[in-house]
Amino acid sequence: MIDVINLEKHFGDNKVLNGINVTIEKGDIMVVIGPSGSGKSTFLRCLNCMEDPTGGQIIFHGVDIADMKVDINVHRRNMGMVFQHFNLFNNKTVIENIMLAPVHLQCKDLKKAKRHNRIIKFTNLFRGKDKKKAPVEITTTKAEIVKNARIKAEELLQRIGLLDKADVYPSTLSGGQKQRVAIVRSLAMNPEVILFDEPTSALDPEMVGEVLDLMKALANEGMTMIIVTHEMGFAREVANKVLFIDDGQILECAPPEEFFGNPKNPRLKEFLSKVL
Amino acid sequence: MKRMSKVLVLLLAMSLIMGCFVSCKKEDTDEFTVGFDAEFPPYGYKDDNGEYVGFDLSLAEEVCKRNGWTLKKQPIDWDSKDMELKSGTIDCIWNGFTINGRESLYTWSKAYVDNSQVVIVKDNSGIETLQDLKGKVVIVQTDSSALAAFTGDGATDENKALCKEFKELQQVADYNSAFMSLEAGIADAVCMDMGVANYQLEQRGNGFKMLKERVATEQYGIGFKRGNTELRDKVQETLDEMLKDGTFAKIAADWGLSDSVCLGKEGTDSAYLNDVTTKNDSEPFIDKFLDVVGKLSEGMVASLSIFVLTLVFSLPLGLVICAIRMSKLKAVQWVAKIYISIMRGTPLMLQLLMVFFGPYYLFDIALSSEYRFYAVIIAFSLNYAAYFAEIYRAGIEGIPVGQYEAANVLGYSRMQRYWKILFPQMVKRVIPPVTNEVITLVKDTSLAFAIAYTEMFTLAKQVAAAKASILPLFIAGVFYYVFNFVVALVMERVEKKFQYYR
Ligand SMILES: Nc1ncnc2c1ncn2[C@@H]1O[C@H](COP(=O)(O)OP(=O)(O)OP(=O)(O)O)[C@@H](O)[C@H]1O
Ligand SMILES: [Mg+2]
Repeated sequence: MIDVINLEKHFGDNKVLNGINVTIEKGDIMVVIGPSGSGKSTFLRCLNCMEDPTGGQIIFHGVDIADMKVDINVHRRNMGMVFQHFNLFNNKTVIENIMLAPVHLQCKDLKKAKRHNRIIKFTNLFRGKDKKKAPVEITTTKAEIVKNARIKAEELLQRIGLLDKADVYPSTLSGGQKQRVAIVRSLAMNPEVILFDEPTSALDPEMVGEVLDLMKALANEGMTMIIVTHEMGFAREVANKVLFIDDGQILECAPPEEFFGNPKNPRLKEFLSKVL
Repeated sequence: MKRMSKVLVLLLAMSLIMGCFVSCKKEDTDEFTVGFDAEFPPYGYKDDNGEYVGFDLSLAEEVCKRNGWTLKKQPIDWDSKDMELKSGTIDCIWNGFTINGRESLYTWSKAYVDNSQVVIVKDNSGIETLQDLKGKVVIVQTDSSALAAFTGDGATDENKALCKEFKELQQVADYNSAFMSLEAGIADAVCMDMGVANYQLEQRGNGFKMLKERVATEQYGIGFKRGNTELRDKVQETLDEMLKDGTFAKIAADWGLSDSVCLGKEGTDSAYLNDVTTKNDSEPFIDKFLDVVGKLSEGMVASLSIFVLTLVFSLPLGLVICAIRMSKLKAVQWVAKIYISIMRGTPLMLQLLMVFFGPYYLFDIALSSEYRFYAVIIAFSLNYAAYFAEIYRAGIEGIPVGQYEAANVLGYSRMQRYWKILFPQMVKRVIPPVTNEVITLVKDTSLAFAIAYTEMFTLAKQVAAAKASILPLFIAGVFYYVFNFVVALVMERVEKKFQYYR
């Protein structure tokens, strides 16, 4: 689904990524680990062009999205992202946080269709009787879009057991609750892949479990996920691929049994001996 | 130990404050303080070397020399002259000070200059007689004898009738802005004392002329605090002496006023002899109060409209400037940076003058009298927009980057990101600093006096001068306080409204 070819990223003279090559298949649960400052976040942020890569290609559904000419917004909708610090919109209620983006997107499509029909109607004035074009069919209204988005948002909140928090503002939630809302917020866009950047690092230990459980559930449903984390237990249990990045390069890429049971790269061995 | 040092500090502070009071108090009776308007040549003004000079000051110097006093030249704000005199911060007003109409307000010396009120117009204005002034804008100095000649209690019926037919009788603080207005076409005529007029014409050269007709005749004297005949007599004695030995005539000649002086001539001592009558001041307080409030109401409306209109324009304009300031293009950014630094780096008063007179002096555009109000609003809006822009920018930059990034990954467009997420959060953040700015604006409205726009404070000063009372100023103070109190209350409400999230 995603082919990363020779990805490079420099910040001035600082070469953070030096030729990353990796392929992500549909349904993959890929965990990325590595020492601090090794470029894990940068890698993840390059995947959805939050940082513009300085070299290489990212082929997503056959399109090189690292190319500055493509409309990145179109592809971003298919790539959800979950942040370490949740980044819920402070000025919106929980349910608005979830609904806003899908409603906006569908309303934009609706507007486009309407505009398209107006143009057809106008140009039809100049066409012969039998040559008139049919307008595209519009089956929905704005009110309906909002209604459906609300139903879906409520379902999602129900799923994480936070339906009663639908109309409160994020500042009143606990860290674990915030992160679960953030995860379903990206789910509401129906993405094909979700990127997680250390989703549990800012949480108190007793809240880490509830977030990991939700992620496990998503994994079991077949969601494609790329996860930067320090939770080795989670990686071993859920991942089907584990990457080790250091100095901006992939030093090891293996299934978890092999990765943790029989690491080959000496730097990885040293890293594992420190963290395990 | 700690206690000791606290007590010591307290004592030190107290003695410092006491010391201030003592040194401020006038104990040195050998000092003679002359109050004068520093912009009233040739009687008293600042010369090219930055020294206060003038005919009256030369006379005062000579008087002091002969009495062994040290002369203190105290430039005063003309509107506050009575308060200065009553409070004893000055000993006399000696500054081409007209006796006529003020006979009972001061203890007077004998008249020493005979001056008349004349009208100056532009050479090519086509105005030849006083009757030609009908429908024109005429300028006089605040509380000047020219003003009294048109509207004072002693004004002739003729002048009163003429004044009613003016398009506007405008009061300015000093003759420089009067002439600038005349030059710029904002006004058609300036009415002033003949001596001043002669001097101004000499200084400003061609382009102006004096009408032959006189508005009024008048005499100058030295005004002392009512009842202070002791000091007055001493000064008068010395002046008489100077007249006898020819020093007076010589000083008059030095200042080109030989034609105007009248000391010792007949009919110059009526006010001088008249200092026994006391003014009865028995108007009930409540009447006085209502009268003053009525007079000030126009100024209140003026201040309020400056305030409201400035906010209406500057709040959104600040947003535009902020957007330019935060543009991705460095060159565009600099435009806003320079704008903001100029607006914040120069006095608002100067900006007011630039906006008001700039169009004429820079581009030769004739200005109308109505432009005065527009200029106030334009200058205030431009100035406050710069401050608001910086406040907005700080507000936007204070929003965590995570909020942008989350909006980006959810596929928000630029506009959506701005209006749905950033703008509302920015508004919440900037309310406290904006409140500060708004409260400053309430007080800053008084700066409109710089271009002679009569808002609350200017009007209060004028009324205070005309009534020789501090009451109007006190009422003005209450007005500003209540105004700000309401503003603070409203802003608090707004802030509460935004408390729904954190
Ligand atoms: N916007 C930026 N500008 C300049 N340098 C950056 C920027 N973002 C990251 N870097 C640099 O890139 C390097 C890698 O950063 P990155 O955040 O990808 O590391 P990381 O592996 O995620 O570390 P951590 O585990 O601490 O999150 C660091 O040296 C960092 O200083
Ligand atoms: Mg990171």
